[in-house]
Amino acid sequence: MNVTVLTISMFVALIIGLLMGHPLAFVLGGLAVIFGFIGWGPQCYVMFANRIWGMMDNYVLVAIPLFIFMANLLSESGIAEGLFSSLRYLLGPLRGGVAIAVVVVSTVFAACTGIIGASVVTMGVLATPIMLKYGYQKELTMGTICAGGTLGILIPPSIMLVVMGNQATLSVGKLFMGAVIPGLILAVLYLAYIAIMCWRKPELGPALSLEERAAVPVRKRLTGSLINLVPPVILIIGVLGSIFTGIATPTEASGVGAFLAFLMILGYRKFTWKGLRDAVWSCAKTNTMVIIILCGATCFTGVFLGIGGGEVVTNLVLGIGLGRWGIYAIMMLIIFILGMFIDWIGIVLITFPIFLPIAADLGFDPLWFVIMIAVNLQASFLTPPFGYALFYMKGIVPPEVTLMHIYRGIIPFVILMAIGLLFCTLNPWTALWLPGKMIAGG
Amino acid sequence: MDKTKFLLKRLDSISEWTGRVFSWAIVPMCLLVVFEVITRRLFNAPTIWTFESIKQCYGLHFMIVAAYGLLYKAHVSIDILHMRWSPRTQAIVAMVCYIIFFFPFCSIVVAYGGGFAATSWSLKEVTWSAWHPPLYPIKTVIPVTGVLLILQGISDFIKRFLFVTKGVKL
Repeated sequence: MNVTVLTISMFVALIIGLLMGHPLAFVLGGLAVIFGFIGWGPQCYVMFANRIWGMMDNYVLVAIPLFIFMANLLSESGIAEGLFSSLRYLLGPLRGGVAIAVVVVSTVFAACTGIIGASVVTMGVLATPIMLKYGYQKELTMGTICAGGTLGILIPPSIMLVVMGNQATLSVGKLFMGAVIPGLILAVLYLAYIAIMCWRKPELGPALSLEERAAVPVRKRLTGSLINLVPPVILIIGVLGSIFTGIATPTEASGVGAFLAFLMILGYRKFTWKGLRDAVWSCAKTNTMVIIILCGATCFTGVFLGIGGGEVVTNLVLGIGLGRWGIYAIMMLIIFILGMFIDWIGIVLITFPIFLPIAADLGFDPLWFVIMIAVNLQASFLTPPFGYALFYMKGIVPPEVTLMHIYRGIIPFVILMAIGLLFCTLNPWTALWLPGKMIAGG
Repeated sequence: MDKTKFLLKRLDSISEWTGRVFSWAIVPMCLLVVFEVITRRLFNAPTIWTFESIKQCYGLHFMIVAAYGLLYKAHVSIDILHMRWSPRTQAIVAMVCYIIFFFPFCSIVVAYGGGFAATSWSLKEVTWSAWHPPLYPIKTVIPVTGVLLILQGISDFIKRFLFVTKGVKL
């Protein structure tokens, strides 16, 4: 069969397969079996075992289970609860203060964890009832928590960046450092938006009433915030600092981070055997989900590139004649649209083998390009119909908040993400300055 | 019917218990990394065996609990269309997917992963490092994972089949 026909039928089959609702990992693996047989012959299956072994015999990917474990332990430790309760009293007198506290706590939590589930669920459970009680607009409440919680996977440590580094053969340490400033830019955009909107329309996010403020003296608010900031700051310095200074690789930092998170559970006196058991079991489920998809996808891309599909798509895209930035815009748009339907792992695994060679052909810096995709993928967690943050929120909100409140609430934040992406695209130093300052390429 | 129920229970409990037991591999993995950091960075006296042990722990951990993940529907899928269908259609489509995608892929993993492991056993293969631990046990995890997945897949398939033909929800 002709290579072009085979490539196109592989894509069509992929889309149909994905829509059938079967686990992504096995759709990718099954298609690899079918198209490997048609386009190559059964001898290609030897490659499957080799490629799966490549996923198992991989020191960089060890960081994934350990970062997931660390996030599960941190949710148990109650570190976010302490910080949020003191910050909300501190910022409460401001209009929109509780929403600002949510974004600040989410950003700090994001720098401690590498997944989004933990931060969205933790912040959703903590902040939703309080914000609704104080009369915050439902849309603003939902948007703030979803967008803030999603920062968890962009701001390092991040299992998404580990997977990206593995797929793009880039240093995970450099990717971590490259994502810091773009992540903070998004956080600042959220803060500015909330502050401006609530200042102009106080009914969106009113300040705390005088009785509420009187309950906790200012002195206590300040000291409480500072005390609760100490443990996460230690964790951030320990994990990110050791990667930045070249003391530890991301894998080493993930193990030490998980261990520190466990010590924090002991420190906060939250340890129970049941809690540990649940963290271990839920970590195993998340971990196998992520890496088995990597196994299915590595077989799929092996077959896809083996039959020459990569060249077909590259020639097709480069032949459109839109110029360098036109093609960049199209690639980003494709990722944004895919983000509505597929989760980030699928997008990274399907688009990287195709887009990275194109970006290299066009002379883009690979590190910067991958970080731009990471920023872009932030929206994929919020855009319906398939957005993780939406699923998590739907599971925890009180009945008076409907799905429409959530959908309307995320719109301004998706626009802010697009602005952030545009800013980082026009200012490549945002992604490249910090990695360049690293002491050793971890 | 009782026999089928018994079989399904057995199949599910295989996944359940491999998952519950091997999930704990995360704890030695974590402690070994901490140990590695302490010996290498603090005492500048790295051991030759931690690096390989960490990788083997990790390879074992995510592979062998794959069927446990399947039992708990942890493997992410895209259900935009799926959720609009009737439960009966959902079950039929799921069965078709198991036949087209799941069983062929897992069979290939068992067959070719088995061959991959068998070669390693026949060579008594070890790693290139100074410690050179054997590689054949961890490579055997690939076909074992395939078998565990197929067993859990059979259980899921039978559950759907019973639902479609007899309307029994298990």
